[in-house]
Amino acid sequence: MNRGTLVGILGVVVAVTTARAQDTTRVDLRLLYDNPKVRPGLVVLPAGGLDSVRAILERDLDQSDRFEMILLPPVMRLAQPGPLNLAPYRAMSATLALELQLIGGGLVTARLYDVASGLIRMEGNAVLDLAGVGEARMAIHRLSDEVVRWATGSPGIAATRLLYVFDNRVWTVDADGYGARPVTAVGRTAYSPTWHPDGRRFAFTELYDGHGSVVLQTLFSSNRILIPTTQTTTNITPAISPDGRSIVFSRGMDRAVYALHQANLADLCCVERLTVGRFAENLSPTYSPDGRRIAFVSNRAGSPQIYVMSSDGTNQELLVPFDYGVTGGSFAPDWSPDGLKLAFHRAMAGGFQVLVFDLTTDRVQQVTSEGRNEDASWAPDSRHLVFSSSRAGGRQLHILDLETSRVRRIPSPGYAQLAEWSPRLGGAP
Amino acid sequence: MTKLIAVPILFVGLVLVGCSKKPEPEVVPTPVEQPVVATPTPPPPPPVANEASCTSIIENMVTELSALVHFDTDKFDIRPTDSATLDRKALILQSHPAVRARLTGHADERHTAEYNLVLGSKRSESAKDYLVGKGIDRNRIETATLGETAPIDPGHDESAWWQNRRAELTVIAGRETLASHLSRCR
Repeated sequence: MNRGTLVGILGVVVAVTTARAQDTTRVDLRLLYDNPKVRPGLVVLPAGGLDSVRAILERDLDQSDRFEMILLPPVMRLAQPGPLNLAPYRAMSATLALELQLIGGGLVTARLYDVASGLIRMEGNAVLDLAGVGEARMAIHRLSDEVVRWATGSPGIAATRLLYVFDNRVWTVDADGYGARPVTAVGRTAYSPTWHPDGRRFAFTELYDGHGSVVLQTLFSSNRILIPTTQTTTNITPAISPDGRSIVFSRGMDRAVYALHQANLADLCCVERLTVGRFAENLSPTYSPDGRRIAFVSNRAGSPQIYVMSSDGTNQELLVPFDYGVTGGSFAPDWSPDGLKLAFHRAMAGGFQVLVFDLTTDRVQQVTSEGRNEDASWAPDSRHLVFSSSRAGGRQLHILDLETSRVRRIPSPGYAQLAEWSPRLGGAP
Repeated sequence: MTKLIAVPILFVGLVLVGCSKKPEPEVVPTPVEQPVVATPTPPPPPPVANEASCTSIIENMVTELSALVHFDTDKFDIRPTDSATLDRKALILQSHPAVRARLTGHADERHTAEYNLVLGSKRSESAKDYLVGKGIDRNRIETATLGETAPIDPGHDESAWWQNRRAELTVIAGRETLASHLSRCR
């Protein structure tokens, strides 16, 4: 690991702030944990003057589901003077220890120790708002995602947000459940939100005055544009291509035929129809991460099932196998960011359950069973799913880690549905 | 010939029904709890048809046009019992050619959210097809869907779901002409 590479990695953490970063002294990037199911014990050490930051980091690292978190009893949470002594943490089965040090002026140094050897595995600096409220939380989340990268080789998912529908408006909430707020106007039914790959805008369907327009809006702003030709028809289930140049959506045609259409998002023009057929409904498109293919729902063979096509509309074929007349309808596919899997939900035994289709093996695995579960969306790490579930009453967003089967809930007062997980969010919008 | 006879009969019926108060459901009192039997207030005498204002006639017409068409679970075909409701809408639309309407289809919460938008479209198109089959110009009726987003009953039981699986007609143009079959209202 050379110094240049390290500075590049740390740049992610520091770039969002007025960088006054000190550089790193010592590096050991060996990945000890090739098996993702092995969760190393991690302790976040006491950190004087950084209580809020420490609490948020500890929670983020726990919710990454990559570590067995070692939570300190109150008596051990006070920062001790003198040289760092890792022996007590070794006794508590900690493999890794995260030290946070306030340098001053909001500059914080984070060091990840290998507890057994006492060596620093990775170290970096970030300028943080120490109160850790509002948008300042995102900078802390980015630091925690970097710590996950130091420990496992791939970053965490704390610096992300969810979009969802509640009370006919699109809301957003940080992935840790904080900061829920509506982002679309009152009085117009908003549906099916989807992120722009820049993480700063989103598209959704606005059902109003008999039509369903597709709107592209800036997240915390009323800036919005209507996608051409969608103002006078019904257009649902939009998805934006990974390069941000195209948007695909389903348009209600005469006699309730729904056909996928694609528009040029960069130039706001050039709407073309991708699916033909006088009777079928085609909806809920999702792009593959390379942007070359689109999976979608179609009832062309009778029941709604998952199909795939090239993003220009050619080569349409069945994607997820089903037994004709036996398999329940399948809905709302979402292509994983690593390109290897597709999550969707299927009608099963009177309800809906989330399933994952493995594109490398053609196998389907059911991943939920308790209550009614639907509309799953992948986290950027391709191992966490957010979906709407009735298991805790009403419909609330739940997050499932496919590796550990841990589930956590994002509480909401009523029916929260149609969640979409953002990409990792960079600097402040 | 049938239509020419049916339309005036319908109008008289609407005015009478619309202006008379429906009797309250009869309550059978329990003697022990309520020894005094309340005498039901007699309904007011129905007004004579030609006393109805043009405004109230229009309102009655709108009420008739707005009568809900319901659907079976996950279905969008018109049930035989709802065809009479649509027949009355067709008569009113036939005799008031300036009226334009929107049919909005709705679904209950049991199907999945996005597919419910499709189901709503199918229901509104199905009701539209019925009216077109009765001679209404296709271009006078637009269709829309709200899926499960606008329930009449927010409950989570059979009764609520039944209420919510529906197509609703709203008048979007020509409302003021709905009494034009009466010369005094033209």
